[in-house]
Amino acid sequence: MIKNTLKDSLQKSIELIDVNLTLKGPSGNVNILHNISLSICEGSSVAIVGPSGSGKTSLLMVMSGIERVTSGNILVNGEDISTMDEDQLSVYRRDNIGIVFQSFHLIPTMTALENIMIPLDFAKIENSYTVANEVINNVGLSHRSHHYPSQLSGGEQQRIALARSFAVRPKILLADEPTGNLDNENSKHIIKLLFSLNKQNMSTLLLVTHNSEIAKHCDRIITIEDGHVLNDIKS
Amino acid sequence: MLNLPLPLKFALKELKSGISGFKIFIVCIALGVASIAGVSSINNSIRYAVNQDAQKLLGGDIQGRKTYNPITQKEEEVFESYGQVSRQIVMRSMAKNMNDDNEFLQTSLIDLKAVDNLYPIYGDVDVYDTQYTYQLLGLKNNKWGAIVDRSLKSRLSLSLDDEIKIGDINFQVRGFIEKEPDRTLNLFTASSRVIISQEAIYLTQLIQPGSLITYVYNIGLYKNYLAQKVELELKDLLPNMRFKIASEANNTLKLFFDNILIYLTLLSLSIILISGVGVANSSKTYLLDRLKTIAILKSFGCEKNFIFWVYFLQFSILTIFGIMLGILMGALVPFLVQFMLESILPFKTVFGLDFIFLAKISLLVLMISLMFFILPLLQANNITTAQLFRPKNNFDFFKGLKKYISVFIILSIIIFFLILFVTEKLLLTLYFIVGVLFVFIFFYCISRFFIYFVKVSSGKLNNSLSSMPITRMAISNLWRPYNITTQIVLSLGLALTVVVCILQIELNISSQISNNIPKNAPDMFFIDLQSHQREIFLDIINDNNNISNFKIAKIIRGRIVEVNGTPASSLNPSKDIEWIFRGERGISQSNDIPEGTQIIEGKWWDTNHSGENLVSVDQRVMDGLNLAVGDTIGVNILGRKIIGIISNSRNVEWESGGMNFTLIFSPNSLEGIPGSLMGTIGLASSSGLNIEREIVSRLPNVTIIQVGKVVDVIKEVLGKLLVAVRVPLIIAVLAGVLVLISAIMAGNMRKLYEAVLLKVLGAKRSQILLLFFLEYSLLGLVVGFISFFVGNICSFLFLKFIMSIEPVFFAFNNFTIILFTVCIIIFVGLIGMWNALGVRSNIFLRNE
Repeated sequence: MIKNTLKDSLQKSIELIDVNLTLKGPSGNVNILHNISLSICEGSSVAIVGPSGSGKTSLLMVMSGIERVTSGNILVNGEDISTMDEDQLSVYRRDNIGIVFQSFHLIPTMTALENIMIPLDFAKIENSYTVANEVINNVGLSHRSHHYPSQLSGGEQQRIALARSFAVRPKILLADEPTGNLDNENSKHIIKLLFSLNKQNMSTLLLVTHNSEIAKHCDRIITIEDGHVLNDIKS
Repeated sequence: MLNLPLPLKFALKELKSGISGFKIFIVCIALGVASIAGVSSINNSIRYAVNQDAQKLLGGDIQGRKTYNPITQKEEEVFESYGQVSRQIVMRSMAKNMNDDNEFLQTSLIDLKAVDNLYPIYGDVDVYDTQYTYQLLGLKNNKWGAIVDRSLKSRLSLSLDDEIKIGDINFQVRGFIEKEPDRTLNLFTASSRVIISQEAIYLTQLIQPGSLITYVYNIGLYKNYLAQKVELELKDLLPNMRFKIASEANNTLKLFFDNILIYLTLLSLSIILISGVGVANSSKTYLLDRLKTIAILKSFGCEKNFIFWVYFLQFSILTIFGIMLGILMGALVPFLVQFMLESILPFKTVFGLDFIFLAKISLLVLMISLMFFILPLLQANNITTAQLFRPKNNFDFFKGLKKYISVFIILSIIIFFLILFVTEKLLLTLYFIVGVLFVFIFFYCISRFFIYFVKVSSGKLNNSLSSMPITRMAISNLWRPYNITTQIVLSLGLALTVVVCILQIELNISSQISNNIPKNAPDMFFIDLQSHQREIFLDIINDNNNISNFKIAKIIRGRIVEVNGTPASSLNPSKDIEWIFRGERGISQSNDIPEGTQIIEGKWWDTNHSGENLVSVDQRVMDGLNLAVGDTIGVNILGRKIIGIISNSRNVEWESGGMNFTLIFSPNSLEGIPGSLMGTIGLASSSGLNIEREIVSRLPNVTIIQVGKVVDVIKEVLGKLLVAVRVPLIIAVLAGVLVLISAIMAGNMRKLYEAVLLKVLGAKRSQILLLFFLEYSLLGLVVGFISFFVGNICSFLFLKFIMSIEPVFFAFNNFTIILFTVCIIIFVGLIGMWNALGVRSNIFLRNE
């Protein structure tokens, strides 16, 4: 069955088959994701919406390999990441994935430019310094390249985070509420930048958001509730 | 529920939730207190032994000593008018064990003490398995009795009732001495005590004219006499005798232990201070963990000082807990000391704590702890509600030192007075405080300089390291914001400097003893050789082919009493020659210039010189007393004053370990004065046993000192002392490692977060491990190098200027220390990181 699915998934960027995620909590096991099966085509943009605690971020986490599924399979570009070990997952992320977090997660002890250089260095891209400078220029923050995250505003930090995630031209971009910590003005700017960079890169975009306006920018909207896919519609 | 103040209620609630975050905090304080409480316990034991047992250690209220000859009957009567008098004859000799055919098997150097029936006036002699009475030493079945030290039992493989030969007669071993009340401390003695009766010593034929014999008179004063007053009266009446009273009996002992105690107290205070750094790191880590709690409490309107008091109370309670734990640990130290040093200590250690001293220490430790946790605490007080919206890792608890400098100055002054209160030594306290401040500032500056240096160099190295991102990151981590370089350099650097310094001192002293014995030093000394035995002795020597460097000289004990007519007590000699006026010195005579002697000034007298008494003097004594040829020196030998005119000065090489004399007289000067001969020989091979056999059988009164055996005893005793001294050193290392753990843990959350992000961004676990491995290796090398540098400078200064030893550099040991430092930092650092690599990343990455 998996062999057939592998054949089918060639055109698909990501495919989730019967994915379950159960986490152990202080008061027992908590079922986060239930039998989720869905596939996402290469180059498409998908918004994942739903109420708080519905499992949106967890879904993103299992796709990135940060969270290990309890059962089920996740095929990315034909490769099953659910069987990979930690190091294979790191390499998988390095070669395929860019991630943007709501809380930015820039390394506080490195400058904006150095933060962008990290994935380039790990991917062994030559002239990482030059490439990082180009990327930071693309997000309009070249004048802030030697500043530390604590010296940047929230909007600026998220732009650097976006630059970092796009620096290695990932096939898939995962964005977890990238405007959740930003004001309206900055949110608009970031979303505009996100879609524009995505278009340039032709990446597959998965965007977790509460904002229906932002979700409408995507080709497809998947609604999650209590760990189940409630709705899957084209926008 | 009790109506407690609100901050205390909150503090207790937080503590109830567990003190796991405070383990290092508590252990650091406990180690510091344990170390100083242990020192206090040892101090108590010594004070008890020295002060309470002073009479016993002296053997009476007053002790008079005379060399060569006993006092007269008339003088004895003077003693008896003051109290009960117990007489002893003390000398060095040889004990030999014999087989059934009366052939000797082994020999050993002994401290022979012949006692009378009043011995001991104070205290008891403990003999294993039997009760000591004077009859034990008496004549039984035609054999005299002796009781001997346990060390002799092993040296001569003795059992009870075995016979040993001393001088001309055989003694039966009637017991093994457990405790001798008046045995003074002489740690480095190679000889064992043997006690016999006064009647028996005269039969040994050891008492010969010129033999080095000391007659000791212990007086137990009648009730109406005061020791100090009687001592003065006796000194007037008998100027040729030396007197001591009980209260000053053990000045040497006191001085020796005072020095050891000062060293241990300083080491303990250093441990407390090293631990203080651990306290600072632990409190920072704890408060970092409580950052959100504090911000939330602030958001609900708690007053500013509320936070301060909540955590002040928690830290103070934990400090007190640590102090109590430390006191308990310290109370066990006397048992440890007893166990380790039993065979060399002249007294039994006692269990007991000086509660006043411990109260002082507790207050001091509380203040030192406060000094180290006050800054994070004051910073915690400044946390605002806005912190809820900021990443917690960016809060720096060690900032604001300048703002609160007045608090630190006040605390430093209080700590200064408390240390003074504890040590009761102003100069020592001043040195210590200045030293500590200097070391802290020095290490701080060094770490800042290093950070600056790495920052500048890494900027230049970036291009060449572009293909090595991990190395580049590791180097950058040493200077980036929130780096742990300063904390680790300060924490571990302090501890390691102490270790390097002590280790160097130890190694130098050990090598001084074992390796620096001059190669041409004699292998054997023969003392108490009588003039009429000279020919027999020369026969024995000449019959043996393996002997080299044979020397023989007349030796007489005498005291320098005047120089150029000025009494010795009114002279002001330079410090390096003060010793020549202490007690009696060996004086010799010679017709010819001794072989290898270099005359510096003047000329040697003619052979068979007659007329004026001439004397040859060591050049150092000439310099120390500003003497010139033609000046005079007066010596008192056996109550007779002999004035000699300085004829020449000589270069005396004391370091050669051979037979050397400060004063050598022309033979006419000492004519008629009984003295003995002393001989020295070097051995080409292990033929020492043959010579020993010959001498023992043909010259039974001669005492043989084998340099090799003496050195072995010194090494053994020194080894034991060094082990005992190493215990606080080990505690210092332990404190240093704990402080290192606390320093690494303080920065660990940030490191974990970084590791997780790097993993998310595509780094393999091996790459992350390599990154931290490189970072910690570089840090270890830096700390190791700085400690090596500072520790060696400190030990160099100490050895050169305080101990007057020419320092030797031990490269291998220094290298080992550096390697050890690097390994320990890598080990502790990577242990924390290993867990990080297994942790689920989403814990750190989920939206807060």
